[in-house]
Amino acid sequence: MLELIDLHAEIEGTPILKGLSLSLGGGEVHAIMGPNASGKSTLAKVITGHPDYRITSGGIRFEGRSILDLGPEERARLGIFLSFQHPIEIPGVSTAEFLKAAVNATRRARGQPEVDAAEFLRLARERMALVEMDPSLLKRSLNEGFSGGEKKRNEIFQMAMLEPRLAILDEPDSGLDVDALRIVASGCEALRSPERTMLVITHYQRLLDHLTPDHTHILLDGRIVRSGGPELAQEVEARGYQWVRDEVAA
Amino acid sequence: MRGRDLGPAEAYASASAGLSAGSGWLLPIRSEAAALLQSRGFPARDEAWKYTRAGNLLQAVFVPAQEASDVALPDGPWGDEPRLVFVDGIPHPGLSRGVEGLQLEDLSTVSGGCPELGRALGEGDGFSALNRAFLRHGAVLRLPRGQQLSALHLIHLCTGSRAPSGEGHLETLRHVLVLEGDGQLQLFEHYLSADGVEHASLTNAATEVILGPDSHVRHVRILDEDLRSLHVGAIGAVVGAGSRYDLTSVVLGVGLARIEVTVHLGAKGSATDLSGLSLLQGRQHVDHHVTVEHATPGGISDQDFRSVLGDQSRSVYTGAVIVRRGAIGTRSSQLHRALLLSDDAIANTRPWLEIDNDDVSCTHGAAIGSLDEDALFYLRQRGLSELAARGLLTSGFASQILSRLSPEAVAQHLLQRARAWLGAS
Repeated sequence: MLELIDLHAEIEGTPILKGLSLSLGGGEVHAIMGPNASGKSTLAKVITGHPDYRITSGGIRFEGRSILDLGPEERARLGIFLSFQHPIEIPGVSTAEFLKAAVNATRRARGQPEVDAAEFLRLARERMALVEMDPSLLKRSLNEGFSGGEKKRNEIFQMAMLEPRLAILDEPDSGLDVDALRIVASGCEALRSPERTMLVITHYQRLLDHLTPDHTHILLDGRIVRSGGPELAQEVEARGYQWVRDEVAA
Repeated sequence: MRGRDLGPAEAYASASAGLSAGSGWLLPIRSEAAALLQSRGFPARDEAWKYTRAGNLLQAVFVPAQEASDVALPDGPWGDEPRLVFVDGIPHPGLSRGVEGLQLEDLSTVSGGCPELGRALGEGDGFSALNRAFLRHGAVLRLPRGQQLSALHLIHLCTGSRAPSGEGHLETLRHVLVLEGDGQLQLFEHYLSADGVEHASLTNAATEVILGPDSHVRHVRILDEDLRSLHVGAIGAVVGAGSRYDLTSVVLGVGLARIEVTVHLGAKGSATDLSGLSLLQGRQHVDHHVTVEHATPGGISDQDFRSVLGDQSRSVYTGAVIVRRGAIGTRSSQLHRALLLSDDAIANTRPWLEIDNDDVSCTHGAAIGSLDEDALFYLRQRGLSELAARGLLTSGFASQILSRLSPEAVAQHLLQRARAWLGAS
């Protein structure tokens, strides 16, 4: 359902992705691991159409069509969702106001009827429970003054509301304590379905203990250099990345 | 009219002599102010008028209206609450709504003088003299000790009709609100234009608020006039012991406005919170000139002035905080934020601190720029169009000032007006 074909991308003239190829099947969960600055967050932003990144060659196909010419909102409406590593704070805009606008923009694009305020609230309460989020956060400005854990849970809550076909989770575990990690991971696990593909970017095995991937890939210097099953993540956890670097260099 | 070839100060000074009389005690104030105006003139290359040309307010000599035209009151957030309505600067009893037992009257009918007049606003510059030279109408409210008034609306309606001189009208107003102590007041000033305005007018409105001890005034001033109108506003507050004066100045519609705010914290435990929001487009120009004087220990003042600027509009903010020698433990903050929606819009900001002792905490900051690109991407990633994302971020910026206003009806009214503005800009 998602194909990345020999993707090269740069930001302000600096190449980050250098020939990345990857294929994700429908309903699969793929984990991407890699050292800092290997291009993991860039990959997430390139797939979702961040305007700062320029694709110099290669392609991205989503459900059989190229999405390179589409803006971020068009990709989002096709069902591509990014859980941000650093969710943005937006003072003065309540979580509810923002998310209702997002849900309805998405529904309109899919030819579904818009939700009204009451239906939105009912859905929101139901889906906030997935990540044990306090419903009072709906009234607060988006992410403003939220703890690190609340911000990450809010991302997963938004994913639950927007029901994407492809969810890219950029380090959903960073900065979380053990309990918050369990809540976020089990929220993701609950949203796993044959209709939904997930690309999980993480540094740590511990997230994958709760959200077992079908495939694991190692990203190094802008390319996928190793792919395997869940055991590859365990190997990285045990041995770090140096052995991968050595093997790639050899 | 005679004197058109004289300088505007002289022309206004001589015109003021022809003003029909109110109470006798007003006359010497007017003539003294007219003489002052004539001798000093209007500000020209004054430092305080660095970014706003006083001459742009003086391109015509406007004359006062003789009587209030019969117009309909537009819809607004006043409901059944007490209100005084002024049409082209003249009280309109038919549209006003009093409340029994309230000591509220028009300046022209106050007999024997108003001792508080001038206490919160001093001699000032030429525009201040102009206000006193045409002193005639305005609300005079006295809240005796312990009294509360949950809302008073002062509604100014400009018809834009033509004065005999061929220009629009000069509206001068002087409101004086006195809380004797242990009182509360929510004061709303609305400056509106009637439908079908044909001519520019000049409003010169001064509001003085005198707070006795342990009182709280929340003052919201809304400028939502025709885009040709010219406006000079002066707001002065003297804050008593344990009292608090809060002001929000909202500017939606005006051609050119200069609004001076002066707050004197001269008694123990006095505090003020001043904020502003200007939503500007076209060639609108709005200048907020704020001075807070801390003259006693432990005073607190906060300022948060914002503007959203489209097209070739311009906002100016000067925030002066003066901390006198004895005012130890003063805490003050100032913030000016301008959101530029166009490359041709301009925001000028000048924080100004004058501190005469060591034990103070004064902060100031300014942020002038366009919308945050990361925030735009975040919203677009959630499916919002770029236009919708820009609108949501801009309305969020504005609603940080508006949503904290009470009552809800006023906040909602302004949020709605702001959204309409954003939709149209």
